[in-house]
Amino acid sequence: MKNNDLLKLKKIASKLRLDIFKTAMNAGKGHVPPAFSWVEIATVLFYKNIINFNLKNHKSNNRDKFILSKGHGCLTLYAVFSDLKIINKKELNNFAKNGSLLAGHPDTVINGVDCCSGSLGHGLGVGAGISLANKLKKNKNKTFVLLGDGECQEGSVWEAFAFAPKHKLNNLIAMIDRNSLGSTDFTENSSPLEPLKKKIENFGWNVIFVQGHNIKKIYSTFKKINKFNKPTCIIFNTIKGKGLKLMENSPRWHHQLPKKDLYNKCLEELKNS
Amino acid sequence: MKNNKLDFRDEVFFEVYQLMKRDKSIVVLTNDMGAAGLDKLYTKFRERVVNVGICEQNMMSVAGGLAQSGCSVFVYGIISHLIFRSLEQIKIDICLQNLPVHIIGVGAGLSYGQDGPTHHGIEDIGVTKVLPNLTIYNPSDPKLAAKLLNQAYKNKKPSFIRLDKEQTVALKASKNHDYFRMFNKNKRNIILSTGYSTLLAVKYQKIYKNFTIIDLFKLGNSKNEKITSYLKKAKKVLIFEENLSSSLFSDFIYKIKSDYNLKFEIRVCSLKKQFLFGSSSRDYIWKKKIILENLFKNL
Repeated sequence: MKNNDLLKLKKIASKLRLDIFKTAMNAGKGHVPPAFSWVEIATVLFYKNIINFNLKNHKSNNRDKFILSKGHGCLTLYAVFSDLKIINKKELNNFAKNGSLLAGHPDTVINGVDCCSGSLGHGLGVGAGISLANKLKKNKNKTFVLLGDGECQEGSVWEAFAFAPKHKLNNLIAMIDRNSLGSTDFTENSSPLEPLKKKIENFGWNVIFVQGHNIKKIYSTFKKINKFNKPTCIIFNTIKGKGLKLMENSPRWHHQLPKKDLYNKCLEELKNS
Repeated sequence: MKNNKLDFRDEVFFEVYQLMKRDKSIVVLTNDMGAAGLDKLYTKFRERVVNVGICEQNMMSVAGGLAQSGCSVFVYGIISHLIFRSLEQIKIDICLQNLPVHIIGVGAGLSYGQDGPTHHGIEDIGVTKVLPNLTIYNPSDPKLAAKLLNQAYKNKKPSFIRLDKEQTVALKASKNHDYFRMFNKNKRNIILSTGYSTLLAVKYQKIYKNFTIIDLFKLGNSKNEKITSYLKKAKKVLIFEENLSSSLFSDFIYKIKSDYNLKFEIRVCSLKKQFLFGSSSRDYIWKKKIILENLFKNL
């Protein structure tokens, strides 16, 4: 990746964080840290054409699909959709307000959203169904599913992990936002997931572990996925709340927002990042 | 003597077979449940019949994913497991997006009575009828079951088709409507039944002819005018179901009675709101709990 390109993507990531933060503060609600932790993933996925999904084809059923299984991380998706003009910029101002398209968790009333999420543990199974349909139709479409790591405590996720390799769904890419935090505590304090990579490998997946905020490494990882003949799982090592020191890696901030006196300080930090 | 009895699953899977021959987008999923008719589908349409394994939640999510990609999906298993294990998946991955997924559940009522309370299909209507977009079909004979499956398929919306395990002859109604049919119409005493209870009512109607049976087989978005027109003339209505009193197919008639200020007396003959422990065949339950002869005789 060229330096110009990298710089451009970093600027996009910064802008996304700013949009996310402003949107949540304007609404007085929103899961900011879970959104921040996957901003670089979203940046590479949607802005480097990893996923065949854009303004021209987002209403079509014949394209790559993206499922935000960790639905509470939707502010990033909304910010991306707004930036790509898939939704009107004004909609961000209406987030979580009465009558708004944009609820605290995404649903398919929004063109381009491929799965109603919010209740965890559904997305990978739905993604497996879409992938199976694509295999039956013999098309080349891929399905990308972003899961939270806390979400991987749900049994239904493991049912899907078992299902996909059996049906050779190499057109399914699971991505785990491994920020090590659930809603109120670290995942390893409640229902431990480690050794996560080994567990998923043993289910028959090809598993790659990568730094989740390193745009260059994320990009080179995504470029590899076409080579595999089994489903791929990318575990992104991330920091919940990445971008705001106040929120980083802290169980306190799952859906808390800073008080108004901290607003300007946070805004400044995001602008300078 | 020729046995004219038909099997619900055989008739339904034969219908699925015919549909799959014509429509290449149909996919059938099962949670490792077997049936003779399903075996035939495996043989003929191997690629499109998938044993997902004993994972009902994943099965419903996969069904949702297939359906949103243009497939018409049939999901087959035992009612109690399909519904309760994966209710959220049915709600979110199927009903919320109004997808063409048709849940074929076997074991309505006490079909699996002797297998104990984990296999009884007596509470599921209570939790599924609250879901928007879901039509529930409860056929009382196998021919009707196949016909309703075809209807559900054409409707292209979420459906739940409840099948009994009892083998039975096809019933011939005196009047057919889109969500109910009638036996021996024009009597002022009405039995409102569904599924297996209709079979019982029809059996006793041969002896005691003093009532009309309204066999309800569809619960969804049907308008109530037709059934109301019959209820207006009724003197007594007996709701007769092999479901818990908290999980009735036909309790919408209380609203009809109230809305139209109708005068008929309502009685309910169903299972009490309690679990049935141990082995409880339906013959044992119906003889133990109610004296059927007296019920129909004194109607």
